[in-house]
Amino acid sequence: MITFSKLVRLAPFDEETRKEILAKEATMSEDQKREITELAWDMVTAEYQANADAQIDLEFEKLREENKPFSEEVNTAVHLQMDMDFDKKLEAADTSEQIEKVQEELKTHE
Amino acid sequence: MPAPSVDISNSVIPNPAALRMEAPAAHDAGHATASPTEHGAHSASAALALEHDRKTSENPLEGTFAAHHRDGKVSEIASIGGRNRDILVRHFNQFATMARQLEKDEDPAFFGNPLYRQAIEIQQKYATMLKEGDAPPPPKKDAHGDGHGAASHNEHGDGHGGGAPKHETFDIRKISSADQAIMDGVIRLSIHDLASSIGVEIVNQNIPIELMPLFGKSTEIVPRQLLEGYFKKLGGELKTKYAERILFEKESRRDQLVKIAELHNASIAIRESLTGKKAWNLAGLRNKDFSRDFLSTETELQRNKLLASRYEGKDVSSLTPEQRIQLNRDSLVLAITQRGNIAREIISKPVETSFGESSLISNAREKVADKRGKTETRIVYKIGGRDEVPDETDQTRTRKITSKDHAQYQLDLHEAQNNISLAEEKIKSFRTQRTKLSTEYTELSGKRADLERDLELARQQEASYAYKHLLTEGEESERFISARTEPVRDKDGKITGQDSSKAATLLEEYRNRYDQILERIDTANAQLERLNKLPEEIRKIDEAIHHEEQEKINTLDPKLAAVLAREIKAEQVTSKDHQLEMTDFVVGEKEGDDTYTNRLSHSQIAFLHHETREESVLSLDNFRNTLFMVEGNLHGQHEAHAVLPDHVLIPSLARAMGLSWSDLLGDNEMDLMPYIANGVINVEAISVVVDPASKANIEAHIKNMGQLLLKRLQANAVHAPQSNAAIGKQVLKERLVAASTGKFNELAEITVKAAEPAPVRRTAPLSTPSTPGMFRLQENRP
Repeated sequence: MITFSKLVRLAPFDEETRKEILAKEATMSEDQKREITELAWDMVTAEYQANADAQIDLEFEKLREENKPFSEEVNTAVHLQMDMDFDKKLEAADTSEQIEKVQEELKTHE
Repeated sequence: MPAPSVDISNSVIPNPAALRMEAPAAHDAGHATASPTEHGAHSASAALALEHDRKTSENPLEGTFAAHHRDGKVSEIASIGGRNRDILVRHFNQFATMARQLEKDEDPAFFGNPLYRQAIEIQQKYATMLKEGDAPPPPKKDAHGDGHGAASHNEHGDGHGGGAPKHETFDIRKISSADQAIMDGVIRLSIHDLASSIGVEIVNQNIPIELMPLFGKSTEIVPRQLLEGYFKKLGGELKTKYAERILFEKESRRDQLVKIAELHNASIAIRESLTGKKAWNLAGLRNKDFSRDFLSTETELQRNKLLASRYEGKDVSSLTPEQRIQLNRDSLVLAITQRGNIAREIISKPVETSFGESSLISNAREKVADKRGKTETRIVYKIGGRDEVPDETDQTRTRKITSKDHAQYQLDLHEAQNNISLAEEKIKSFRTQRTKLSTEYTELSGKRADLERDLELARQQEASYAYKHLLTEGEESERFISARTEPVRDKDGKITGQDSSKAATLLEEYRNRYDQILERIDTANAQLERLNKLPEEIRKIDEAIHHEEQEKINTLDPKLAAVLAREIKAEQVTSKDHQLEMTDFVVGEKEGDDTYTNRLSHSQIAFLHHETREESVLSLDNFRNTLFMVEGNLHGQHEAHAVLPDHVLIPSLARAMGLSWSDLLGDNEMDLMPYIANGVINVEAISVVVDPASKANIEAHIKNMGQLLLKRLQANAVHAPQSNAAIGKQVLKERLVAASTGKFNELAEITVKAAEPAPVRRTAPLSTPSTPGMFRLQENRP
């Protein structure tokens, strides 16, 4: 299950907004969380699309410069790269969330 | 009706790579309807756009993910620089200043459009960045007297605009996305106001207007004639506040067009920054998805709604230019208000303020509020304690037992019991018959010796009967009568006649005696013959009894047992209202329940992630289960099926994919349209189709539609998983809409309440049916 804070870390919010949302998370209503969740997923998918487009564009440009035809392998390679990147982002969001939790726990023991 | 044959599976698979390989043809096709002027400008600008994109090929949003950038480089969110930045700041400030004036004057327009207040707030919030642009001096004419020679589409523009003010402190990256959205709205409204005031509209909202010198020296700017190609005339003008404010009418036609074009290009720059998408890609092709940003989608939605409410049944093209201008403006204002409010409300609204009152979830809960806490008594049909049976059409599924099943069970039971009763009656009748025969046989058997003796005696008597010849031979009979005939005399003794009566009487008596002998023979014969036949008759009736008993034991009893084994009991149960149950399933039972939010996140990640995205679309059931987060929960799967049955899921998917009923039904459209109602497949109408062949054909086609849509989902999972995430989001949202209207069995358009001053809430981005029963998702604009 992807948590709210993990999603906020995953979505391409600007840092100011991201910090503000995370700071207010504990006091947010479910409605607010839902609205932000929807917005965040819109942004995640938009980013995914944009990244895929950019990757394909780059590959296409390379092929054009080398005067080579486009092949399905290129598409597959791009998507593989996309998947790896997405995994990394998820992992990073996860790690960041865990670090924050540990930091909070440490604070309570101080 | 022809067999289902339409294949749409390949027509929609997003394959940007393939699209890009067709660059030249697609490019030409894309401009096939453009004016020659526009075509020329675009052809020329394609190369420039290509060059531009080479410089700015990084996805602007990747700046927030520097650590994971594919090249390990840190690329920042695209800045809006040069001329675009200057124009943006200048117009924004002019708009905000106008807003302040409207507020001061207590102008009703100010209170009718929240955007004015939002513009003031943003101007205050970013005062240090925007102060330089507050009430800027009019652009100085450059050496060639035009002041518009800049490269408007160049985000990294170098300020070729001559005397344009510099705003070094302004940086779009320092403005939150929520406020960027409002700035975007302000700029779009300004464009609209300026364009409307001179009776024009930009042909394509998503293609930058090229203001770069086409050839040679920078002094050779785009002539007015060429500029006009980017605009279409509306046939009327509209007085607008913003045009009045900047004294727009006093400028020359060419300057007016240039100003709108510059503003339009600045708007595109903001939208690129907001959406992370480029208006043009590396191959010089327009990004088809670019126009699908939130505000464009919302504007189109609002326009459709306003059109429907103001000019019921009319098409935009049939409106007068004035009506059309006003419609466009109002829809833009509404959309901006919506979009701006969403972002601002989420980010900055005080937490203690309830969000829910007008949200779909709250509406859904309100819809069933009166049913909560109450129970309803309804009849549930069960077999062996279970209220469902395997689905006849798909054994991998189950379905609820219905009243129809119960009625059928009662018919079957009656028939089975009736057949047994009839068989038992028959056996009873046979047994009675047999008893009679048996009695008869016993009696006759006891009389056999007497009968035989009597027969023998009678035969002898018959053989020796003395008068037999008198009775069998005519002459003898006549002679006998003649011999015994006596004369009849009168009183004088004179013969007057003959009397043969005594003879006749005597002969009759002989005959009677003889007949009696013959009758005794016949009776004895018959009884002896009956006695001989009775064993066979008894045997046959024994066989019949045996047959009937066997039939009952081997066939009828098992049939009854089989019927009884699936006895459907009708039970009265007291439970939650069904509508309430479905609503709770969709939005959660309690206030503040995060069911919907969790499902949204769960399904989005499932459709996007490489480990789950293919499995989640292996079947329509998988798609549905993923959507409702019930993959491992059988009860949940039944609930999911109840709120999103296939006959709703199929059109819902199609709608999310942008397919019309025409696309789905293909050649069978005319035959199948009668089975579409309220935007979904009307299963009730199909169930009453009498002709089995027609019914099978309809069902086959519907199944085929589902499979074709599934193929598209599967193709998306491989080529564009983000499309499935978007599709899933919309289908899920539609269920939320269904819960809010209480109509789970429909794909209804969301109705918009009369415009309220503020805040205006977002509604789901659903399409507007063009005709009843039809739907079409918003398409990418050309």
